[in-house]
Amino acid sequence: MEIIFDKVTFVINKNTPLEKTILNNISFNISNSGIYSFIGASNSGKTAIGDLINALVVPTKGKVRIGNFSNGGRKIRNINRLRFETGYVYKNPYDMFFNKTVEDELSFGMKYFKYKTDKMSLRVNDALKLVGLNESYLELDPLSLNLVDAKKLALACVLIYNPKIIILDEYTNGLSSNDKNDLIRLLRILKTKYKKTIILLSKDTSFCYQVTDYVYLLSLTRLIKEGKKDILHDQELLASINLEVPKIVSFVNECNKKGHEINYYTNILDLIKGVYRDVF
Amino acid sequence: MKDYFKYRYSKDIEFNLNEKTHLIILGNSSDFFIDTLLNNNDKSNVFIGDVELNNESIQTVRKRMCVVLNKHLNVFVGETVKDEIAFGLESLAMSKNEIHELIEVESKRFKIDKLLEKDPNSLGSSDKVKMKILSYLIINPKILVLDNILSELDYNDKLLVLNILKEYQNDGGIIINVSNDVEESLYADKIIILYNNKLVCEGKTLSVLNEEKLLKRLGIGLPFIIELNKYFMDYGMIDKYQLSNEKLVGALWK
Repeated sequence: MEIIFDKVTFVINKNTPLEKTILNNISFNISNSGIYSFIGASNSGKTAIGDLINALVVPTKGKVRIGNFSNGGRKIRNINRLRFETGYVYKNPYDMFFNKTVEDELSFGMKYFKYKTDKMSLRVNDALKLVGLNESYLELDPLSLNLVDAKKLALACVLIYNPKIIILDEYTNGLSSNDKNDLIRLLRILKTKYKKTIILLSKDTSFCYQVTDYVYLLSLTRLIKEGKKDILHDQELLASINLEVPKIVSFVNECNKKGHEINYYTNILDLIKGVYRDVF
Repeated sequence: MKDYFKYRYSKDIEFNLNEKTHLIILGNSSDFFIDTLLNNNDKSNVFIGDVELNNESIQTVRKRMCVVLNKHLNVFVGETVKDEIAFGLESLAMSKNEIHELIEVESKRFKIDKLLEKDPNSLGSSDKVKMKILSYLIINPKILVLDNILSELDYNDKLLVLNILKEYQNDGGIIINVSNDVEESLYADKIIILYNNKLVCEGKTLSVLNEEKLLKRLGIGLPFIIELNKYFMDYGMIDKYQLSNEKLVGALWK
């Protein structure tokens, strides 16, 4: 399913003293399945991109196309179908929960979209297992969970109705390293086996560098640069837009500055081998 | 004063903290630890100075210890950022002029002096966190507890906040940072690991980070630069820890 942004401008509270521009003349084009990341510091308009794709807000100028749907000011016919095909995990996971138990929360999406309702209990257990929770959570109140478990449950609520596009907004904040490794494994399965389009909105460059296929850099409402992940090797560019250089890249850059030739590896074990070969 | 903060939970957890310490708590029972600090619990005893936490002393304890919660990041008491920061000072009955001057000075340190008249709901996530930390730090508590909140900050703001916390620590404060991100442990002087409501490990930063197998089994992991050092030591390429990229590169190619 393809996503096209055509010269989109988005302004909130228009014609009032509180007027604020969130996105400024942004155009891009996503056609194939894969992992795409939008990286930027806060106040750069990442969340607005997620909201526009899910048609929660309407652009002020320009047009957004998602498959056969178009979000451009007119009323969208059959909007439930659009919400069914684009799953969106919010920044604050507690915003998504309104049922009394985890089981109701998970099965709500399937009931609402009338998707494979005869296999309900099987899919509930599978979705929990996929994100790394177990059956003991089924009877708990979702609002009483801690932050990490709440984030995992929010992802399971989206995966259960099998959307074609998955949007994760600031998902990696506050996760431990084991959870991040599990997430990398899950995203790779979703990409290769099920051909999903995954959109990461994040400022965690070290995480995005490990999984992403294509990078868009945002800063203060504008799209600055796009390209393969080698644009994250540019230390001055990242520093000028208030982002951290990925840890593994900053070490390789330090080596290359001293005149040694080390390739840009994404895995720490490959990096060790590369350095070992160069020293001896 | 020695051992200002004392914490006990039945027989499983027991530790004391002096003034001028920066402690980081890792592991999977962070929300349980925060819960025992906020509410009176039958099994736990928390001493702050000469006062024990219970229903009568809760006013004194709140004045000496502030907890910045991740769950309350979108809950506000004031209409503007300035009201939000002034709330703690007003309830301490300071005069209006003093409050005004104090906020002017402190907001410049945190670089949010241009946002004072704005609505807190319209701020970006990084500015929101800075405002929350300032609104607690301004009443000058003895103990500051951070619940998983530094991961929401931008990179430059993170360095700024960690510098300010360092100054606060040198003035005699105690910082308890409850976190899942092991990279933050490099800024602390002491690490405690709580796992399944039990104390597993306690000690100075580098001596705890030395326990590689334990940290990996509990799912905490290692900071990137320490992990790199470990592998190079296993291959016999360096013989002691180098905690910055430049020093490590210098030691590798002698």
